Amino acid sequence: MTSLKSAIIYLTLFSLIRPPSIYSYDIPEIHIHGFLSQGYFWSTENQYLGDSENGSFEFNEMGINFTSELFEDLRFGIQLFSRDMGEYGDNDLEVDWAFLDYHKKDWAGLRVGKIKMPYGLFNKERDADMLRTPVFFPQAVYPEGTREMIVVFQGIELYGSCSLNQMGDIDYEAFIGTLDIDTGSPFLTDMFLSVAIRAAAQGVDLGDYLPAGLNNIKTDATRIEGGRITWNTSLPGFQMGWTFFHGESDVTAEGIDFESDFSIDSTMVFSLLYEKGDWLFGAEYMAMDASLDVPGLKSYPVELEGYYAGAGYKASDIIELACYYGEYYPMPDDKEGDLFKAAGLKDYYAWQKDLTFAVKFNINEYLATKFEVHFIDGVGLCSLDNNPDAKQNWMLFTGKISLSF
Amino acid sequence: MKQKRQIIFFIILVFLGICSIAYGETLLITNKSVIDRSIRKGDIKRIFLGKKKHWKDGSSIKVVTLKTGARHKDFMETYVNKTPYSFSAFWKRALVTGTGIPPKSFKTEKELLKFVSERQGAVGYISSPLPPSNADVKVLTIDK
Repeated sequence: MTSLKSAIIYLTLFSLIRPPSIYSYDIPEIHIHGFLSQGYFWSTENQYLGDSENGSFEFNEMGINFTSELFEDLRFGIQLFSRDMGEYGDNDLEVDWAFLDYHKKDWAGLRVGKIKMPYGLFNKERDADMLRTPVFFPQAVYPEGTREMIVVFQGIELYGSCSLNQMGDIDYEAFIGTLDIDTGSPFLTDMFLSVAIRAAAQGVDLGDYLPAGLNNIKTDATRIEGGRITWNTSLPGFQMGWTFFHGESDVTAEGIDFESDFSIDSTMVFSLLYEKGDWLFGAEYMAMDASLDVPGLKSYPVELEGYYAGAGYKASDIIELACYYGEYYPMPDDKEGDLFKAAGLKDYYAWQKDLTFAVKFNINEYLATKFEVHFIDGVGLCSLDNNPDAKQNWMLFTGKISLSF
Repeated sequence: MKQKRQIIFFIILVFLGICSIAYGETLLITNKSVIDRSIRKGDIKRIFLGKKKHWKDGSSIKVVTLKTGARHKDFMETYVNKTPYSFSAFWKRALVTGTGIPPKSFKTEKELLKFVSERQGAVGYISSPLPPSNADVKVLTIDK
């Protein structure tokens, strides 16, 4: 409901800041575009993102955006968005992004409002299913559970592009703001699972300190600052990128008197992308270094690591193919799962290795369908609550049909 | 025998000449209001990807493209390092993320030429030669 109210407020704002026609002023053109997709996912073992073992249609996205150049160098845009992705979304309507964009100089533009967060190569566009070949971006760097956490921030962003002459050019984005993570997230809970694992390995029962366990943990008003630099090299189509952000958040748990601090000391993503004709090659490495203070006890590290490499090929106007391999570790200092075993869990909770093959059929300019299969080893990205007795090797099948206009 | 070879060589030259006239070269054209006379190849890419949005005097650049065709494909691959498909996908991404509005596009070079001639700061591309009586349009020299 709050999201719906926000949507109405932003739309009202949009109509108000367009100057009335009594002035000598050309009514700006409003660009309206949107997308809609419906998918299906099924896994041979384990519950991934929802009830995948029984197959699930809880997999859709829809969005509509309005963009207009109000004056020379000043734009405003808003996108309303809704999604259902198993445990996430439930088709709540939300303002996905809404910001003013002032771009007077090529090397310095300013965005103010609710802005898509620069993170790696694909975070900003992760909702636009139509624009990519695979159904899922590599989960090692873009876990579905993080969408609600790092896809947008509210604040300001300075951005621009500078030519390096023979060396290519540099694009940059620097931002400061807050992340709106006020709902219990299964991914967040599992991220904090590492705290319980480490405590258990030291013979500490976190239950003495967190009576409700790690379930229903919430973070609120996460302050965040960071940026992304992309070097478009002199080799045509080859770019290198580096994302960095830092943040701090208040942590509470539902139903109990629990307050703590969650500090993201650094999250970094290194990206490589090479585009040549109908081929595209990409590789990224992500590492998060954070810590959670447990009152009365100590500060525990919360670290993540993931990387992938992949390729895409546009075989014809109709067919696109993609393949990638990625690895994700919820506790990078325990890649063999020794601490998980010490805590009474299987070692393969300590990783998720994913080999994916995808095919996309462009039915026409507006409509596409796609299918993909994942061969997965480990359950590092599966919710522990839903998978107390997980299997190590499993497959995930997905299909999706997408419309954009 | 030697004369026969010369005739064949001459015919080939004429044929190649006709082909090149028929296809022509790409001309980067701007509205006459633009003060820039030349441009680096790397800046053409930045302009058509929305990264360079101002001419040297600070006035806004208004980019226009063709919708389809051999000229569009040739220009995109030569100067923007993208296929027409990946160029279109780039701008769709900009729309979905709110970071840009795609350039206006035209079905024919005649329509594009008319727009460039009428819109201050406009830039686009057509096949050479520039049609006569286009005083409101000028050709930008491309520095290598």
